[in-house]
Amino acid sequence: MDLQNRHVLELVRELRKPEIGLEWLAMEIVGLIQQGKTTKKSYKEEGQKRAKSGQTTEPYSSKEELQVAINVLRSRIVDPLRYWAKSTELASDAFRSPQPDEHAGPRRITKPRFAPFKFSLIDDLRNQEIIDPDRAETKASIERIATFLEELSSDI
Amino acid sequence: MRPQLLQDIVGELQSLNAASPSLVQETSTDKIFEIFVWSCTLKALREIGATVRAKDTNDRPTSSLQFRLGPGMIFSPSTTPGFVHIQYDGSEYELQNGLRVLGSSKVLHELDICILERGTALKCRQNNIHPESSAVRFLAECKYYGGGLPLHLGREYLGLSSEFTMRVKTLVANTTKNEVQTLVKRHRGTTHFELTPNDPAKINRFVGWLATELEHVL
Repeated sequence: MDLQNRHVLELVRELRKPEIGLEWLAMEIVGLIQQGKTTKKSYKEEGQKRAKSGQTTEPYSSKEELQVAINVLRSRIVDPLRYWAKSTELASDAFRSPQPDEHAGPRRITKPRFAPFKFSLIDDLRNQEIIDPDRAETKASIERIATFLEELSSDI
Repeated sequence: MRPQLLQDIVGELQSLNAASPSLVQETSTDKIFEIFVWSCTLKALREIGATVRAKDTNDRPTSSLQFRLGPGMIFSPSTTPGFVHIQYDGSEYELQNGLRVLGSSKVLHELDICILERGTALKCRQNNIHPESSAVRFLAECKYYGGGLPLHLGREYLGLSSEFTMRVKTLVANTTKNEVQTLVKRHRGTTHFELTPNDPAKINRFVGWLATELEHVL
């Protein structure tokens, strides 16, 4: 199936270039568009007066194709840092708040047992930390992409 | 559409990929979602009054928990991530992520999030053996997608469910798809879809469901 939207086509071509190295994102965008959308459909059988309802799969419109591409980029590039921030918040609350087997005494209140909780995601193969919340340039880059995607959405 | 906008996005993606290649990978975003579901499970455990302590791969308390991208065997220090030691109602468990566990057919499966009986976990680490499905009290299969979930994920989840017959298990995703939900529901499965940080009500509903269920099985 060919893509209808020339901007999506151009985006997919760019993502597939070896110097960009994001073939997997291109594949996800194309795969989702190829799946099409499931919609309700009413139909009449021969000899029957009443219409029946069923489901069918239709291709996305050109505008919808662009929206699919935007959603994939947002989910895969922008949202993970938000998930990470929320996970850190939930885990910190769980570990920092007094545990049921601890006595609530002045020592624990004035001096927490642990330093602020931290967790990290390690890429075993490269032996490097994947998420570094302090890496300002990564955050800034993702924020710029988020802004561009907002602008792209408003252009549709 | 402004043609420059597309070029700006591609240019920014290229520099992001050059600066943080590991971050801009499918496996990383999937894993980050697993960690999010893991942290929701942690919140549910605290809500039922469980004691939770982070442990490193050597079973020592830690204030810095490490997750790894790949799946881990419980006895292998090079691939085992940290875990959470749970104490609840006189029993002990471990909250694990990306752990390989034997299903009822004795075939290994990777469980994204699971709660395992602590006694079994210790025995497995000491004897270099895989845990079995009978020691799993909860499992969550996590799926992260840029759009609607493909139907095959529902079928895969049903297969996994038949290998792990405990009461509390669920398919969790950042997005949704009616067909997957219908399929899993039809087979008496549980789904929690569209779980995102932008929707605190959904998080609360998931945590609430989990807390109620865990109270019954831990």
